[in-house]
Amino acid sequence: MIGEGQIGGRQLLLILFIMRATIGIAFLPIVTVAGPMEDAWLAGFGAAIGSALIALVVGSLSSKFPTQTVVEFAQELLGTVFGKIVSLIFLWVFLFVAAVDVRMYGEVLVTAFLPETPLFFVIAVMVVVSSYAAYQGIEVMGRTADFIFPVFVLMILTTTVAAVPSINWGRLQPIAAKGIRPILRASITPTFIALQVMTLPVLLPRVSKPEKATAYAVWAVVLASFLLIPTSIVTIGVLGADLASRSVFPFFNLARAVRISEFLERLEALVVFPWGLGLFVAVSIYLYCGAKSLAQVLNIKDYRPLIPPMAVVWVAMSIQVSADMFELGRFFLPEVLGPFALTLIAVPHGLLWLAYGVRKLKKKGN
Amino acid sequence: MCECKRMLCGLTLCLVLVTFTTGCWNRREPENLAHALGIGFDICDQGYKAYLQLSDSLGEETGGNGPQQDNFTSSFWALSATGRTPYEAIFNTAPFLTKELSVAHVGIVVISEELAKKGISPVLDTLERERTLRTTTRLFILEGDMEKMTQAQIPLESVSSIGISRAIGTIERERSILPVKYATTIIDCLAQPGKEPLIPKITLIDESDIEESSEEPNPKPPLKISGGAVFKGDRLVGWMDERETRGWTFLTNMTRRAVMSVKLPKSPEDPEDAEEEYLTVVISQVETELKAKKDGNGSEFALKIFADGRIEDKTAPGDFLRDRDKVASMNRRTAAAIQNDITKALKKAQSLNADVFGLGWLLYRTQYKQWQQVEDRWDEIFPNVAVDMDVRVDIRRSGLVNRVGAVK
Repeated sequence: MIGEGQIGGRQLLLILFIMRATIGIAFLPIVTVAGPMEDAWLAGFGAAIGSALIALVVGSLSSKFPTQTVVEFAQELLGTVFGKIVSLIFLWVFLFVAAVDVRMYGEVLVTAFLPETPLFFVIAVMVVVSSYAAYQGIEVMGRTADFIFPVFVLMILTTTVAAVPSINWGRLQPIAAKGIRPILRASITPTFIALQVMTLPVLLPRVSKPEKATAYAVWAVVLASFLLIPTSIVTIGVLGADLASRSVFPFFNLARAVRISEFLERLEALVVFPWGLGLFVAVSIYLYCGAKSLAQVLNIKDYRPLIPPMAVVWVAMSIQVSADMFELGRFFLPEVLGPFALTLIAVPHGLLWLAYGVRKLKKKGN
Repeated sequence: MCECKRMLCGLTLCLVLVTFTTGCWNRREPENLAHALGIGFDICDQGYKAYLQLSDSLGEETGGNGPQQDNFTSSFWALSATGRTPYEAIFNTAPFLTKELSVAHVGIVVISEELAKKGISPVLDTLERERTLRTTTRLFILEGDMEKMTQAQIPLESVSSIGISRAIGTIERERSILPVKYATTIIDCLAQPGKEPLIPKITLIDESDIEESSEEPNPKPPLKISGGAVFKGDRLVGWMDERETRGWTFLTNMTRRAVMSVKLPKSPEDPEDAEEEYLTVVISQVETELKAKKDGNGSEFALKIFADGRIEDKTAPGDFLRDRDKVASMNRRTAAAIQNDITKALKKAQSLNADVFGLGWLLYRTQYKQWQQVEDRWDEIFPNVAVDMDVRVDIRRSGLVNRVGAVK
């Protein structure tokens, strides 16, 4: 399997970081989902802890089987038929999350820049480009992440720093005066966006040092959560808690409201550009993981021929995933996304961990 | 060699592609666009009336050194239309336009007094929602006729909207007679508990004969940008004049520079009927510290202001170099002048029962528990709020001379 290539630990970290940061900053759910909150940035810590836990649960199981993807070890643990059924849950996650991600990117572009362009076109272009990267294999995606990461972070930090002079620090007060419940509520959605970590069990066998992959994944989600803290601080500091929480794309609105001087304003491109880059990495990874696991479920040797038909499904799915912006927005409410993501993470991993535990006990018994 | 050729091909391709990225990125050609530079909103029987100040997108660019500017003739067109919503009103100008309307360059939005009294939320909502309008536009409340305002020609400016948005920058830096804000700030202000907006005011001067005056050799100023419109919620309830606005800037730490004339004390040897003598102090570097008193039940506040100033002129003789007491007395007098401004502003706000200083908001931010107790009664508490003022002014330099020249 050497022909398929490998990625380094750093590349895995960057891939997972970009995937999580893109979606976390695009909607900035941390400031929108729990109503107006001056201290929403505190939820960044909650999200860091929560997503780190998810990464641990997902990663530590997978690293027990460093040469197998989730499809392979699920069959080993649960038997062929049941294992394949569980792997289908993973496949569903890849398809669904990727569809929502691309849809959101499409919505940003259609809402803010290209109101006359059909959503289909924006989405299809993104998926086609990503499927090319997925076709080229994991090594290419790893290097793409290497290349995109500095641009991605630099642009987001530039926007953030450019907004600092416009901050009215009073808008960030009071801090933690309304108790811990709203903060916890605000951290639910950013935490469960870590559903993306479920790509790790497919990527892990391709990482050069699989035993360290979990640590990299945890670092990736924690760092991406911490990126939410400065971005939400500037967003609330510039827009105010109310406008920030009403915004469909708060970080984008922030860039609109920043005016460094009479001639230096309109920084929106700096926000949308990294989203496009980040989403490219994310979608190609989902496509790769989806095609790879589907190939293994169906016992096909090469995953590549599956990519073009899957890309078509991805495009159709991301258009069908919600009728309008309101439905998409509702999906990110804590009471919707929370149980949804929790089920998708807990059910397969509960089963797999249980089977693993039983097997361990049996071995000891013998 | 092959590698070299590929590099060359790649570079050439890059260069060719770069040329596509220049200029307009879509098919909206500048010659087909009419740019609105300022929008005015008023109410009418149908709902809203929008006044656009349009500029020819080509004319504005070339007008810079053309003959137009020399005569200060206007290069804009004022157009209005009505609609049931602000957006519809803007859009209804389309039948009168031969070009596509672009609102991406709107720098100022002016709202009439009548509309402001009815509520400005619908206009703010349009500003927030529309993707090419910006929340970094400046908002004004107009006292006077909107139609005349949009047609007014400001001397030295080709388009009055551009002039007004330029003036804002200057005013913010050097005058402190206007509550300078972006629309974002006002939108945010409406959402904050215990804080009401104070929005810049434009006053139309000499409404009757603007058209005549523009033909006179020396045109009169058509409008005045100073003072503030006091809001309660999103509705206009009153005005603040320049001094009150200056008091507001002192209290809210928005002062960058203020010109204060301070009355000089009469010396005993002056005759009874001597004229009042004044000293002009320019205040710079103001630091305001406003705190809600811990034991004040939410109705007592402490204000500390440290201001630096310099003397700009003085109408009576006197020497500051040798007489240190005089400096101290001058500091005290300037401080009292600042205090008077603040008191005036506070009284006005209290009489209108509109907390434009955000005293309630301060409670909300710093003493959340206290705020929860007074939140529902804030309208009753605010008119009786007491602010303890401790204003300290240090006049540190007297310009290039230290005493008034001797007249012999």
